[in-house]
Amino acid sequence: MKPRTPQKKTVIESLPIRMLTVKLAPALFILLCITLIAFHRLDALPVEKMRMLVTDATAPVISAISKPFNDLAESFDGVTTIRALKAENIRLKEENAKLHQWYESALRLEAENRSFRDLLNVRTDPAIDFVTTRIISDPGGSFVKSVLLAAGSNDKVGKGSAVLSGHGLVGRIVEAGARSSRVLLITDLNSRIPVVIQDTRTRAILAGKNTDLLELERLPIDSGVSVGQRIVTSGDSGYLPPNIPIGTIVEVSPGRIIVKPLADIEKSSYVQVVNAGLDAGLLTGDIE
Amino acid sequence: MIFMKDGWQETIWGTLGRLGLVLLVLIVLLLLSALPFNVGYAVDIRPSFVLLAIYYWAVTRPETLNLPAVFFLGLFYDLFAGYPLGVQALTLVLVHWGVSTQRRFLVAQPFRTLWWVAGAIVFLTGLLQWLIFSAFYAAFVPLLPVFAAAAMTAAVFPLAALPLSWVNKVLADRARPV
Repeated sequence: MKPRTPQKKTVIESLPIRMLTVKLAPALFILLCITLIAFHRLDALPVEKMRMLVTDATAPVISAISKPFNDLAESFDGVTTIRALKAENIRLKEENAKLHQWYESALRLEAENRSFRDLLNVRTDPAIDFVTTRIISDPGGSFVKSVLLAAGSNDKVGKGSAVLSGHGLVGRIVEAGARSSRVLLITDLNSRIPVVIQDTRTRAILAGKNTDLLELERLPIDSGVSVGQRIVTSGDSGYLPPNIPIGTIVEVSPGRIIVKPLADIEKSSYVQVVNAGLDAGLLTGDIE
Repeated sequence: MIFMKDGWQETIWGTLGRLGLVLLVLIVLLLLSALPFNVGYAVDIRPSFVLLAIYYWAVTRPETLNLPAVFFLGLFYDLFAGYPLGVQALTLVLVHWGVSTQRRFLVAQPFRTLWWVAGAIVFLTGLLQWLIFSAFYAAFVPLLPVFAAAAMTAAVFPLAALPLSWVNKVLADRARPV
């Protein structure tokens, strides 16, 4: 039997460096990843700026590809039968009549309110203006509850602005690029909103838990909370305007007060970004 | 000499072209899996097509999708999704490296085994990310949605593998010597 001749290696292949790079490369990349996570945790990286570069660059693409999906989702909502439409019409007519009464009384109360304010010389909150924009992406998955919007600083959307959908607060802007922005939803684990219980004016912090429900924290002892009470923003942060509805208390048990958001967060396609301009001076340093 | 130079250039551009195509497909998958679907709780169970694609290509085309490319794709994923920088990069690098070491075994396996392995990888990476997120936030992230998403990802593996195999065919055509 002929003895096997060992295969000849080229000079480069026989160098230990090649073997080292092949064996060491994964370990180096893994180490690099862990270092990055640690540096991010210590706030030693400009992650916010890097994120905005990425989302601004991809915004036109995701905006274009998400449009048909938004439209599809909306058209699904619109598909109903004639019978359902008739019933809906009757219900809406009744609601309209009721709302007319409310409108009349709101006008009366507004006039009354204005005259009282004039009498007392009260300085009211500045007028709120808002931008309506589309949710183009929902990239966070199970870990991060955030969405991307198709509006940025070009549309006067700034960091810290409140984001609303039909019924109440959805979140606030945490990163604003030129043409896109990222919203941290109120359901995110990192979301903390200063709130008040509308009836009692008791202050508390509303915390997200990465689930559909929220928890009320830092309430004073004996604050008399009960199921059904409405929670609104307190305006204490300086960013969010006061009295934006957020949710209602649905469960009170020892050590846990659960709040259900009013806004149907997962089903919103369009949102309003509020620019309250409450502390424009504080943010920019220009005091009028 | 000219012929050799041309041949050499072809190879470099061919390699880069194939890598570019694979990365493009991965980025499109990432953007597609982040679409706002507006279907109630579906947000929590959307499958991670990028993870499946990394696994699939680590088995079928390890020479095209290399480790540095996987690392940078992971960083892009982290920045896009708003994750702590390095979490997805670490996950994808680990998957790519782990699969590469077992590639000889995996290539010879029937599709059913590949599917089982995909399921195991998806659950393990879900658990790893859950641990990192919980440590990063110093709070326990709910585990149930993580496993729900992992189950969904494992379930759609055959669906994802089909278009990925089409991409492989395109790559194989391009790889022919000119």
